[in-house]
Amino acid sequence: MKFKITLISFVIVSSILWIIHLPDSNQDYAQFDNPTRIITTDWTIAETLLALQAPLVGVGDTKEYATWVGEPVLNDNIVDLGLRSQPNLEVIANLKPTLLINSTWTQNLIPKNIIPIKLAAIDFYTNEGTSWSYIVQTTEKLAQLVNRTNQAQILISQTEKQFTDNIQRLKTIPKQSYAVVQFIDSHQLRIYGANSLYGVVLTKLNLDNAWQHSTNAWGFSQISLIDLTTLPKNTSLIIVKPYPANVNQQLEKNSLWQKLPFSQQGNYYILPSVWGFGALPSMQRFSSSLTNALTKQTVNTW
Amino acid sequence: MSALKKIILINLSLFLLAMIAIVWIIVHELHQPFLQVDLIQVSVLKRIILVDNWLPRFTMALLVGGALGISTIILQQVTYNPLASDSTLAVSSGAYIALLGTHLFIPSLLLWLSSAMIAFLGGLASLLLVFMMSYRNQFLPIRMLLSGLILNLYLGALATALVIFHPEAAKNIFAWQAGSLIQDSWHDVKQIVIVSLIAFAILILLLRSFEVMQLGETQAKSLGVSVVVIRVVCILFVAYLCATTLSLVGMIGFIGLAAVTMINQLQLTKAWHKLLFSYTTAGLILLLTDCLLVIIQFYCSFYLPVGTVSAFIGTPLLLYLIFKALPTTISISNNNSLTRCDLLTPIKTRGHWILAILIILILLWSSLTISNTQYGFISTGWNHSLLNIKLPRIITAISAGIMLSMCGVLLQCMTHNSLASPDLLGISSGAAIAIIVTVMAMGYDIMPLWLPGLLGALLTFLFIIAINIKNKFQPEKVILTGIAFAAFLTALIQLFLVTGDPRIQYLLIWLSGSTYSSGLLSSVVIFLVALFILFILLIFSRPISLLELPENMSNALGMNSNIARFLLIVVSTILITLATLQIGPLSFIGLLAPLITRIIGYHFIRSQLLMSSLIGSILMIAADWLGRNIMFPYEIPTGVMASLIGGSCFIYLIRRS
Repeated sequence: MKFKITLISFVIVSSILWIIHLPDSNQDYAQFDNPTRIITTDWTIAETLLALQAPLVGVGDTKEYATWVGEPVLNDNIVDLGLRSQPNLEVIANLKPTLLINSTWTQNLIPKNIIPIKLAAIDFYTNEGTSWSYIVQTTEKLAQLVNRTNQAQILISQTEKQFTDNIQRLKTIPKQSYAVVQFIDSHQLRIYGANSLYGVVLTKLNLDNAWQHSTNAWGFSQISLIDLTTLPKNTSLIIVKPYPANVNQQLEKNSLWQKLPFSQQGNYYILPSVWGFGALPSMQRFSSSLTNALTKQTVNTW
Repeated sequence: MSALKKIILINLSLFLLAMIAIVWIIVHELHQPFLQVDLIQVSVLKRIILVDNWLPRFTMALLVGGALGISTIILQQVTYNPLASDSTLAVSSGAYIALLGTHLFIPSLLLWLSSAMIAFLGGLASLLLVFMMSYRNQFLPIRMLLSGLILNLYLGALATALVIFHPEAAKNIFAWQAGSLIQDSWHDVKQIVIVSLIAFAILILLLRSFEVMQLGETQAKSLGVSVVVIRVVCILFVAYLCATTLSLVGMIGFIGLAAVTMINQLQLTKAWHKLLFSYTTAGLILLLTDCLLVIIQFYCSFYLPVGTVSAFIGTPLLLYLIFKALPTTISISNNNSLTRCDLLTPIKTRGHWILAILIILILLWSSLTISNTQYGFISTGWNHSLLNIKLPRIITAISAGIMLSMCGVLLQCMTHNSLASPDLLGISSGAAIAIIVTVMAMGYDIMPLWLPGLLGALLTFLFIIAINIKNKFQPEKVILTGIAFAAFLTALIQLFLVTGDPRIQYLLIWLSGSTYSSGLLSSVVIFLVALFILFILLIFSRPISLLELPENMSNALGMNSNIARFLLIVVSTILITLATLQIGPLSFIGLLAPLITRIIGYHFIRSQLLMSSLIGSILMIAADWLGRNIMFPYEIPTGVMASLIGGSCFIYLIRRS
């Protein structure tokens, strides 16, 4: 008993000492003279804002952003706001931002009136997925909100130009259809339809999307390996990273996969990860990595 | 008709039905008219599909079902407990958390160890933990079951925390967790055949001991059978069998329990009959279920993983077991050493009160005036804008702590059981179920989630009253009903996760109990309500303490214990609903705070209520503070943090007691 009391009092005393020695916050460490300081927890909005060169000061979950979105790279000045679904309110308060832009759904989750900040909701995806015109329209809307309309026009024409360039480069390859998939495990995968980001890019590059069935609101269907047999005959598989580390190992033991045409070299292409629910910057990345893979400029293996 | 004939008949009819379903599937797949199926004319592709997809899938269903059935009957035989199964003793959740952790943190391990091995290690570890928790009680069946269920809850909280922090990567695990029998080769089937053969060899060796064990624990002991050794061997064996099947096909709960319940009803006499028919019945049930789901998919084109469906079937089954099959003689009321120990050594010091209040004050002060920033910890003083953010959360956390602790004291007193807890009453699960259903049916745009939550809690409460009224609110059954609801909640969350909907993330966070969006006004109101209920309970502490006596004694003292129990259940429900809406359906605070209170020597209701409220508040403030700072700027929801702290303490305490 005595030992316990000693222990507890030791903890109390040391914590008091620690508190006393903490630095004071009176120097304002987060004050800049920028008129607008924008934060967002939505990666799609974040990548578009970066492409528009808007004054972005905080983004949600920057650690995972590096893995799943990658580019455009967040520079070191951009503060990590914590979880996308529950950004850290103390960090936000310290940042003193002026504008918080999020998707409608996320916006509803952040308690109002706690921090003095202007709120705006922007949705790149509707209940029926997305489309080229809708993404362009939303990009323009976002640009207007942050006073970057010129940059938006540049971004849009840049993307269009990249598409036409890629179409030129793809002229040499024989015509066939493509199925964009992501492996969940060695039995199940996601396949993306026309109303997904990947589907929109395929359409813009005049490539045929092999998956013509219905999809969910995010533009994909969850299928099993057997469903790949229903795809048209001359289909190539576009496998977008990431996938579980042991998928290739398991597919080698998978006799159905081994008998499918897609398991043969040249009938599948592996692409680096691209944010599948992104906007124009992600489309640019997907378009160029797809073109590089199809024209055999870069070859990724499992 | 003898029991043997009956079970053979059941198996035959299951077999026939399954065959019809299989033929249906094959005919549909080949697009050839029935009775004119010509295998020679079938295209190469179709033959591949038939040979590499459907046939291994059907075989897998039989073998997996069989393995789960035999695991369940073995567990039940050695624990003398009709509720034991792989899903109730934390084997599957242990395997799941091991795979989840490996996928998220050391994916390269998957290339060295098979996922079956990782799942086995996880399942075994959690079973060992259940052992350690029930070791002092000579593996008393009920103590073991409770330990298993509590570990289930704890691992569930851990899994939620992991999923919240790695939302994108965790999606792959959801697909596995849902339990699907889809096969693409004979590779996995071969693996499970090998495991099953080993299992049969071990079983033949153990058969004699089983015959003896059937006589009952004491007889078995007097006949020279070492019950403990057999238990340990069997449970290792079950862990091995379950983990292998689970790693191959994912979580398929309750199939074993369903089959074995049927077998138990028939009261077969010979041990090997029981084992054999558990195997075949469970295998056939799983095969039939899977085939039916495939046929549904053919015609309605929506895919339901068999694991999710089996979990749904599980809940009514569990309820049936609780009210029909579970003999009333089995009672959770353990005269456990804790309570007796307290009565022998009553400690009473003023020091505890002063210490508790001092700790609360220090925690409050440091929590309010110290902030973590990207530059490290700083003292913010009484910064108004930060207080605005922190104060409501802390007040909410404290109120939830007080309410859950009071509730725990009441339940533990009513059920004469120091392991009773508000989480196990099922009301919180009921509230969460209602919210998920609302969101699934009506979309995410309905923001006041508390409304369906309150309705759900009330309906669950009415349901519990309705089915318990015959049993005169027999405390054990009330709690077991709650466990069934918790199982249903898990199944529902699984179903939702498997849709791959990106917005599930937000719902998960709500479910994990976040104080994130609490406003100042509402938190103060909740706090006042908590204090008011505490006040009322303190006034009535004398009649409540009479309930701690055995029922005939309290009746003799002029107490209508039925009415008193009913009233206390009402109060508990209100407390749980309010707390669930604040911090989600799970947390061990209601279990832990009263337990600690007992351990430090308080056994009068009045002081128990006060002391455990203080301890509950301390735990919740600490959980809130740790949740905000451990992974700064990523916030761990207070509910998850409370479960993790509480669960760890609890596992430690139950081992010591």
